[in-house]
Amino acid sequence: MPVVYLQNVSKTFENHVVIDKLSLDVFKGEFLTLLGPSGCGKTTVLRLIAGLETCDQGVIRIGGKDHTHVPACDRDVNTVFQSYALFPHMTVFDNIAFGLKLKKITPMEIKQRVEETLALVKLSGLGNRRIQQLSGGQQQRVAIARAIVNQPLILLLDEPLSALDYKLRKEMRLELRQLHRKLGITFVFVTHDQEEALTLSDRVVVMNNGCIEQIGPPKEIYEEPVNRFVAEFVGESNLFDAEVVETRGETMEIRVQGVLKAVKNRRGFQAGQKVKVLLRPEDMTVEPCKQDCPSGSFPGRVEEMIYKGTTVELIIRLEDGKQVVILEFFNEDAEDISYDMGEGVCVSWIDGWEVVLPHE
Amino acid sequence: MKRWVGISWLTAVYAFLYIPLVTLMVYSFNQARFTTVWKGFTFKWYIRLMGNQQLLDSFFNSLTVALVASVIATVIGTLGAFVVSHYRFAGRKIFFGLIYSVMMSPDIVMGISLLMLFVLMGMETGFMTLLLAHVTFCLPFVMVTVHARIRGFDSMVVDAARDLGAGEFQIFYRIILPMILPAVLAGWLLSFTLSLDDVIISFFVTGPEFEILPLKIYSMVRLGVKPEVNALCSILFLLTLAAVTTAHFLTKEREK
Repeated sequence: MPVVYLQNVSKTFENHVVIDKLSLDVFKGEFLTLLGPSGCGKTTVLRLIAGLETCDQGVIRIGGKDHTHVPACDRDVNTVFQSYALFPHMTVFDNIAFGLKLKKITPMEIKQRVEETLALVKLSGLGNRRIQQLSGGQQQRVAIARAIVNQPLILLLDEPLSALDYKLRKEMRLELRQLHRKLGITFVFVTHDQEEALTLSDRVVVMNNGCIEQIGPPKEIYEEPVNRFVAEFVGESNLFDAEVVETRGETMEIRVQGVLKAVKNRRGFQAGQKVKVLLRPEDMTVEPCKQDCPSGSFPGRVEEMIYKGTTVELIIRLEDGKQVVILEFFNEDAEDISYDMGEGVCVSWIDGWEVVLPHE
Repeated sequence: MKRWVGISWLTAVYAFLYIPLVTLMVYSFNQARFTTVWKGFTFKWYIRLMGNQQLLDSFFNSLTVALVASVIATVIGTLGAFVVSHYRFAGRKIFFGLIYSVMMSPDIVMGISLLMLFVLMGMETGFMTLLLAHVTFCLPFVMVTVHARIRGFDSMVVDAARDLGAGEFQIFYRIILPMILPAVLAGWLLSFTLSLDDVIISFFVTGPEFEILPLKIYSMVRLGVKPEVNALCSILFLLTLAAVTTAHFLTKEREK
């Protein structure tokens, strides 16, 4: 049974539909990420689960019980806010103890639990500090500690890493994963950063305009996006217009950029149908053009070569003017990747690594 | 060169502002009874002040009104500011704008309109009417001060408290109140001083049995400025100065 269950939930702010008949199950103990561009309603979903907003329609169940009209203070859910929202007039200890004090737990136990949690977030000994004396990263840890000390059924995290610098963000990512494993609490995480979503989650929910576009494990979201929005929002992608020429059971022949290619047919496309072919930059290949390109590849010219340490990004202009991005790795086969600007190349992809989407 | 121009300009401005006050204070220590000629240093006017029962009575009346009125205004004003900033309701902005207009309206208008109201309600002018009037004109100052402070901090803090299990009362008592306390105290001190030295509104709404200090001074001055009045005014000025300075530091503290 899901620990959180949203059914046909809608929310409107001043005539603007923010959440539109959204249904979502969150399973016990999982790390679920809501991913989407700003304004897609992901934070509102979080606030609905927290009880900080009430939905106009639909049902919210938490831990198997109807929570649609239960106020935030009576929900077994805690939130880590984007701005941390720490209480500036309290010490670190009092911030963390706030929830426990309201639950009328004995001072002895409060002290013990706060100390334990401080150790868990690596802030031991800082209990007497004032909030203003802490760095951004430390404040972030206090915010997490203040939520998890209550041992909630679900921990909600609203873009908690967005205020940190790149290095600290990567560190905290790792720590969040370890924390999730150690505590066994269900995490619902909101972010607009696709890298964060892919590296942290058990499942990713891609949202757009108050609706869910796709739910699945990170690998599935990245490798098998269900539509153009997901493909373009998660990771870089090259999209080609194509047309189905002939279908043969599990495979089909398509015409793309004037070239015939054999690809898998997983969605029962029909001959004559217009489709889009999605290719990730790392799934495409490039070869110097000797004379003519071999069949099944497209001729083009190198426009830009960007060195990225372990990879090289090539920007290639195809003959019809379409721009393609290709990622080449340095490895035993290619210790040195080097092209001249304007050099003629042949572009193709590894068979079977394409994703064919319906034309939208 | 430029620096000297600046300094002398500033000196001129401050001289303009403070020479009358300093003169008053200096002459409160003057031996002479009527003349403005310096006849030597004395504390006798301050001592004589202590023996003037009428004056002391009106001073205590003033203190009573100022204390009660400022406390009432602070409680109502604080709750008002909390409501205006915390809850969304129709006409919230107009509501707040009306608070400002009370603050800006001329004292004479306030005085006359309050008097009219009390007469229409059949209330006898005296302590009660004076108190109500003082609460009325202090209230906006408290609301504005407290409101500014509430707006100065992260509104998510309230959500966080609610998320951690706090009800409405606990949010106010444990989160909002400690955070706005400096502004509440500042508003209270401001109200206290405003109430203590108000002449115009009080003139209209108090009765003959309940005399307050500013009005007493006013009536004394009509017979010529006595050195006692100088002494009294010096004390009043220092009292006000202390209150306003404290209020200033209390509101300033949040920027640290």
